[in-house]
Amino acid sequence: MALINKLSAIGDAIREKTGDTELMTLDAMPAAIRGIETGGGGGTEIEPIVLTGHCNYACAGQLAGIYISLYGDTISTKDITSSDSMFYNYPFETIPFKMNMATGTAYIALSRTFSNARKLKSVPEFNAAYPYNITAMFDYCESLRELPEDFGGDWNWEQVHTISSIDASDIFSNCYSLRRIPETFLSQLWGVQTSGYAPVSGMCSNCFALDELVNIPIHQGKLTSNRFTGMISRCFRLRECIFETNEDGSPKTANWKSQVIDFTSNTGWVNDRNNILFHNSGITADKEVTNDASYQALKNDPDWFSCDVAYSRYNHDSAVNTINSLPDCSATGTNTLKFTGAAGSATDGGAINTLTEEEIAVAAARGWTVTFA
Amino acid sequence: MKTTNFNLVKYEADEGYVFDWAEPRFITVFEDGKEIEVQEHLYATTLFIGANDTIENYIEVKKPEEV
Repeated sequence: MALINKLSAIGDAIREKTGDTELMTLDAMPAAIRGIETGGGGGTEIEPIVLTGHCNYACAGQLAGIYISLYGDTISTKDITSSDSMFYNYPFETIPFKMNMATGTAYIALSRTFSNARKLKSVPEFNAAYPYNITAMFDYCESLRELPEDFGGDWNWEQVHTISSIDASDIFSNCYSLRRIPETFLSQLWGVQTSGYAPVSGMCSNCFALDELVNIPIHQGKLTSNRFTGMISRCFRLRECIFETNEDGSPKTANWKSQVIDFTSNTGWVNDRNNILFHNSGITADKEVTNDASYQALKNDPDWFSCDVAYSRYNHDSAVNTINSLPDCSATGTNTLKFTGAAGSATDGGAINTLTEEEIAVAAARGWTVTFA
Repeated sequence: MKTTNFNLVKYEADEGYVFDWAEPRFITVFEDGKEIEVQEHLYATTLFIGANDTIENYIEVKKPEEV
């Protein structure tokens, strides 16, 4: 059928519904279609949908997203036992229903639940889960700025903490806009894995806007090859990276060797301001520090950033805080801190290469070798 | 140059050189959806070595262009 005949057929269909007889232009067709009354005894109401059981990829992709945007208020969830990639490539900013996970001791895979939901700005309410794998749960949530303060607070984390085969890596990787990780959630990101799937592996890689990591829990698995790869790489605004200590401030102990915490991948200063400005961090161009005057004006502003290593937010004082919180690995082996010596030289905290030998000795006594690039 | 204090030994690499681990280390990375092993480098100009470590664990290598 030629295109003109197809258009005529559409016109006939519209006239059949509207009762009109006159010809119409192509431009008039959308309005005519929207004007056609539906429902009213025709039985076209949308049946409520309950997502339950294995919901892997259930809301993934553009079409699922559009359906949810139209009929989301008819959707509910119940006893979800797996949400692996459930919202993969989800195209909207919000999810209009709660996530009611299975309770009890069912193993729930949360891996990649929101992966690639690049426009997602908030996560739905997420009730008591019993997570198993949590790898890359938020990977590429580029627009996600924050999580609810109590997110994960009522989950049962026993499996993540006790099963050595669980994959908990890359959980926040590529969350370009994420400003902070709730302390209750961060405190659970430890386990007993001995492989590359430890929570610290790639945990905050490319979290361009992340302000700080405070009270990072100590992974209890025996680590013998580097599992900290990418943990804080390209965290361009990170100003603190502090491990959990005992209540009296003394260091925890860890069974680690050959671990490398690398602060040389632009930790604290950004390689391209667009990485800060072009996502959803809420940080604006007027917060950029470029010289002493703008540093003095903005240094107490929570949104400041810089492209200049001299104004790195991660500086000497930050390094001291990291060192003083390091776990004691002296019984296990040698680990490494890699610092950029010049970072922070124009800030109040000073350059990292001004660490005193007394300050560095704290790291050495706990089994950490300090290095400057 | 070599100085000692607090049971630390500070080593600085010669001009144009950096320290790397003497025994090659490898890490697993994802590339094109596949896990591959790549060598991990230290490339540090300065080391502070305490009692748990030794300079024997490091070698000097020519400074790569990207460092």
